Amino acid sequence: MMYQSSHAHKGTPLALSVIADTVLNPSFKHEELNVQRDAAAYELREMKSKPDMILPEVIHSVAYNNRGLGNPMICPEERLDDINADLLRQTMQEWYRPEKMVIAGAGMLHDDLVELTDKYFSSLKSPTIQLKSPTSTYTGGHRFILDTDEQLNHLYIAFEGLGIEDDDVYTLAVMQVLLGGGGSFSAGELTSFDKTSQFQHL
Amino acid sequence: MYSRLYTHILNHYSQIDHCASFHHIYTDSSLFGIFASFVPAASGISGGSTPGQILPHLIHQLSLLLYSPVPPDELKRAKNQLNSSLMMALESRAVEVEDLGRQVSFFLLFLCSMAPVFCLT
Repeated sequence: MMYQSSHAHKGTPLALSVIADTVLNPSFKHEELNVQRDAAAYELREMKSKPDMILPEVIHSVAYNNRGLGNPMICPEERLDDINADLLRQTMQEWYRPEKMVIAGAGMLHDDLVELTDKYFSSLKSPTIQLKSPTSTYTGGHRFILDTDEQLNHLYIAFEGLGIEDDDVYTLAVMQVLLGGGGSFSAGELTSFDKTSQFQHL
Repeated sequence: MYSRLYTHILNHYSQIDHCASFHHIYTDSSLFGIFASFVPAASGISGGSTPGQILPHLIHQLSLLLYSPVPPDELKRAKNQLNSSLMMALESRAVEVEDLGRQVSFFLLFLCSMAPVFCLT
């Protein structure tokens, strides 16, 4: 979850005060929630018609057996109506705690940002309930989804790799770039062709 | 355009519309793989393939990495490309500050301390 602002130099105090207010004192007006729920429902319908958006979700849920990383990133449609102000507030109380927050800035003076952070966030206290981040266990598996309306068929194959702490994660990243890939030729992709051909000479 | 899935797959099989590798990295795991979108044989369009015909091509690309040496030029190119995409991403202040935040929050997982403020100037 990220709150971000790009602003002119002197706008930093205002930007951080607005972000702090949004993070710490959200009003969650009934009508605004309704508008956002409708917007989310529309986005969900849009995504469902795009296999390249949905299939990475599916492959995560299969790989990690619906737990941890296998949880959906996109809200399931039937759960949309369960989201209300109380639930949002409860979630924010649980997760928006000092030890789980990072305030980062680029461009301004370090001391200025420290001072502003102290001003807007020092009232924040850590709740006593301990949080445990869910862990993920790779289980693997397979799933077949039949959709005769789709023009193309889609095939995914995935393996468990390494966590970010492992030095060999860079080897995997190089392998991924080496395999590369993308869309088949079309007139619109000539510009990206120009760019990638330059990489050859770097 | 010169990556393997282009030179070995996309440039040879016109029924494959899209073919790319992916790598989702997390703190304790990652998912690495290949996907392909192709014209199905059942569509009635000539030249379509069944999943059973496409899968071996994808697996073959992984086998090549396992069982045959990667030419030094190709390896160097992949490394350069990874390097430059990382570097070019950081040319944007917005990406830079996000990266900073991510690194600090990741670092905090180990320290378990109170949230300090880090700032680039």
